[in-house]
Amino acid sequence: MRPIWRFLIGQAVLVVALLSLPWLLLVVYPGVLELTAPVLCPAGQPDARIVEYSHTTHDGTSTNDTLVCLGPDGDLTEVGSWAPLGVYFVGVFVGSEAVVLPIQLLGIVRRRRRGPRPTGPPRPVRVPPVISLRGR
Amino acid sequence: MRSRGAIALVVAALALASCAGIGTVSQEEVTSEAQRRGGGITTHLVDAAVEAVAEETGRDPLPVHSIFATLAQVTITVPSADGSPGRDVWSYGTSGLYGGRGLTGPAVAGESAAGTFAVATGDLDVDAAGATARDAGGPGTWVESVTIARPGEGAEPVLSVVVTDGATSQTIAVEGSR
Repeated sequence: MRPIWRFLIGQAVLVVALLSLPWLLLVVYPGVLELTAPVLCPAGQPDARIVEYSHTTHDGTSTNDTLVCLGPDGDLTEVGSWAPLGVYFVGVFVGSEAVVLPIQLLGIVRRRRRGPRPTGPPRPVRVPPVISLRGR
Repeated sequence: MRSRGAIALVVAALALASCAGIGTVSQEEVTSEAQRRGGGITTHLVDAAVEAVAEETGRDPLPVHSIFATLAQVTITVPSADGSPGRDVWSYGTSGLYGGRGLTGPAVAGESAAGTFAVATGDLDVDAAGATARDAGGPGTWVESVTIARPGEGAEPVLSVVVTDGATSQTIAVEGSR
């Protein structure tokens, strides 16, 4: 298999894993979004809380999570849901690439150094037997 | 064997579902935490609201009838932009859970006998007023609301702070916060 295909398949596996495992973690433990606070919370409001709230629409009641940043005096700012999700997935992607990409590149460099695989002696070519149709 | 695998899968799914929501808090818990920390009405919040209204109306310093602040929400009443005797009411918030984010308005309100006063960013020391009021209110109190208004025509604006311990509230007028 050509190295570029190996690289692309590795990246595809990473993307599929990124779409499933972090989502699972998010469903089980939404509090993981608090990790996005240093990026999203305003200065002076460093304490993050993930607030679960319900709201009613014409389709029924839905439950959402939103990131709220708290300051030392109780002042608060709601960041919302989408920005923490975006930062979370970008963080997971960057973190995963930081591990996977060097490994993939190392593999490519090693294979290049090794050079092309040694090829053995040429296989004997089978020649179909010649049938003589000379008269008996 | 197959049925065992299916049962294990169902048990795992139920276990995951029961774990869902770990690490979250309710809005009531966040409100309680904000109250334990003092109430959340700060100079920064009021300044941000004044700045937003001043920018939207193009008036700086901003002529104001009154400013009313609660947790994450500030309502500023200003003279009508079209010069009519009515008033424009602007709302500024930092959370959709507490009345909305950003600047909304203006809602139109009727005339007021109280005069206006000019406010610019940095004019009001709400932090100091809140600390003074909490000291006066006693331990365990937090700032429920802050109002800045002129009590009557010609009078100086007064900064009134309502502090509460959850059971009883008291209004404390703080001088020298402007």
